[in-house]
Amino acid sequence: MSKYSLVIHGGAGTIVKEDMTPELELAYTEGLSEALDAGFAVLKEGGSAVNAIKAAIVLLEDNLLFNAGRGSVFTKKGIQEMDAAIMDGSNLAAGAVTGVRNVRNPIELATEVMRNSNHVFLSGKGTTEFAIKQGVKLEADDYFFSQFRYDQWKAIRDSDTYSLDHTHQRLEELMKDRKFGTVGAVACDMHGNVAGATSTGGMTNKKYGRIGDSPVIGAGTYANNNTCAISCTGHGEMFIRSVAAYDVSALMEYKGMSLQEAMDEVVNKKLVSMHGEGGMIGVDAKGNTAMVLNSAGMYRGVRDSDGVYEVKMYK
Amino acid sequence: MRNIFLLLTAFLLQFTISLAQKTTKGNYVLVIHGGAGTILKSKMTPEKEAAYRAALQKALETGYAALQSGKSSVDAVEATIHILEDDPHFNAGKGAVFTHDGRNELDAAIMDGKTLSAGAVAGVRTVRNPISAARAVMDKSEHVLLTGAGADQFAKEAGLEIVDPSYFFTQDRWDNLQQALKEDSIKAKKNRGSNDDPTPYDTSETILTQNNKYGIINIDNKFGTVGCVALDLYGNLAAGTSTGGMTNKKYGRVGDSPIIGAGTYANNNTVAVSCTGWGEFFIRCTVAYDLSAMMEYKKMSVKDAGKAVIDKVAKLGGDGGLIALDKNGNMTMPFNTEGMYRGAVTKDGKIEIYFYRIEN
Repeated sequence: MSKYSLVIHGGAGTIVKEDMTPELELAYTEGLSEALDAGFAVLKEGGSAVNAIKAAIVLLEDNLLFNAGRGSVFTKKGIQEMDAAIMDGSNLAAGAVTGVRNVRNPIELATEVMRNSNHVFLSGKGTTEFAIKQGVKLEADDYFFSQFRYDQWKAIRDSDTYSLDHTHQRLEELMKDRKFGTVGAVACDMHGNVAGATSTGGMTNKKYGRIGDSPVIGAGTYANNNTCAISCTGHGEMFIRSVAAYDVSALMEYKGMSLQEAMDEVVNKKLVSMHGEGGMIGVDAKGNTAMVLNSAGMYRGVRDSDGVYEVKMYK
Repeated sequence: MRNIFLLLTAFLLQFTISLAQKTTKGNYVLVIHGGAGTILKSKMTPEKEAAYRAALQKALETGYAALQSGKSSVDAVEATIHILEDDPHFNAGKGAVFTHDGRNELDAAIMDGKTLSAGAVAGVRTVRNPISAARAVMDKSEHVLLTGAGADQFAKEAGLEIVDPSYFFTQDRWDNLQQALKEDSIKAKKNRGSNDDPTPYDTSETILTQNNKYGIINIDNKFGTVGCVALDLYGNLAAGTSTGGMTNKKYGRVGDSPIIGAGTYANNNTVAVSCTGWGEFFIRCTVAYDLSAMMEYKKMSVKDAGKAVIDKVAKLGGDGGLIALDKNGNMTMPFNTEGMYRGAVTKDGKIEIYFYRIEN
């Protein structure tokens, strides 16, 4: 039995202590801890890395505070379109969905694509058809609704901007995550298998069917037992152009870097040089973990079988 | 005196040899593919062969002319792919395959190796030349990947030529779909009433035989993607890929073509790559970027790295091919299928066109 570990994130961005209240800090800490505990329980029972990250992400998707599943941001058209991806490092199987509507847990749907289809990547209306066929739980539009996301969207819907610079109530002010807020998880189980997954509502006020890096295998999500499992969050376009998640794996495999070194190289050098703001979490097949960010903060947490248990927000 | 003369001759000879090696080594400026698959000489007619050859020739000449006139590699890639998209022989633009619902849904991507900027579209239905939609995403938006009706809308606003979806119709591709649907319904009866995706995703080595047994994948239904990589006079690389995807595809399936790093990648420091084949495996292997990473991190040649990535795809049970052109003008066109429509042009304008494995 080898060391097992789980790392999660709830998005990176302008997360600074001055903007935080004790209530909100507590709510985030609780949300992250619950997700860590749920995933860790799976690992402790000898469960797979895939099942552990799925359990953690389901809770983050169900939590209104994070921009994934329930509480996802609104698109330009005032609807929610969600993306998710999962990859199993033991066999390089992967599943991803984009432009998903009404699926309670997009990560469940991505897992169905990985396990029960011949495809890797499904998009748009077809994802609903596939969800119905697989019996994945659906919810009406109002389930996903959150007042602060709606207000965020209303404040900028008639502009062409994607970010939020106008707020009037405390919660809204605190929730000005703008394009960040994606959730993700990576795990190494006691059998030495790694897996990674990411789920997001994308950018507030996004249009033209824009897709970020989250559902793109190699960009926002990647896992390979030979190297690592990675989940990213941040300025998606830059993560796609730099093939960020796979690049960590390539640096480990081809240049012999450690997980931490490879993640530093990608996040703090490559992404910084192209002004790609954000961060990523990673785990290798020995259970080593890392959390690297170049933004002001990233909601994140780690728990492993050596007794490490941390939840952090700021840099 | 005589000794000095001999030494000089020897030196000159060596110089000439190394010069000759250099020119034959880094010789190529533009490489294209028109898809990999079961392309067998025994199944080819002289007319069909001539038609494919003419189409590839025209595409190569177009791209070469663009480069010769001083245009960028991005311009050359776009112009070359236009020719292939407009030609109904290839599964891209006009002549694209049909989805399960009888529609044409097109994907394309382009990447500029100089700036690492990229643009891609997935599931567009009304843009005459999807590669130009990808180009517009790269040049005129802050995004990289747009999908579905939103991508069509963006292309329209960017001023691209919009066509009725019926523009993409070809009888051959329609007949292919009808055939695939018929096979589906026969299989449905055989496979306890479940006609789609009867086997779970399997990465074992038996996947090919297993899929053939169930007949769920018609190997030839998913190839025919087109792609181009180019090196311009200024030393800039670019790559582009355009496809109609798989015949009978369902659920908004997206393959590797529009995925930066999987089906398409370009970086001036290393290489430009465009892939074709069983997209799911190319996504899982991050093929195009992996080739670049092997060159950058392991100092492998484009040829060795090209072979290594195709071997990885094969090991997972996938098949297909790719074209790659490095910053020094070295190219490779590896594939593990029976054949791949492919061609290249040297900086002197010499054109090479190949179809089958045996010529490689």
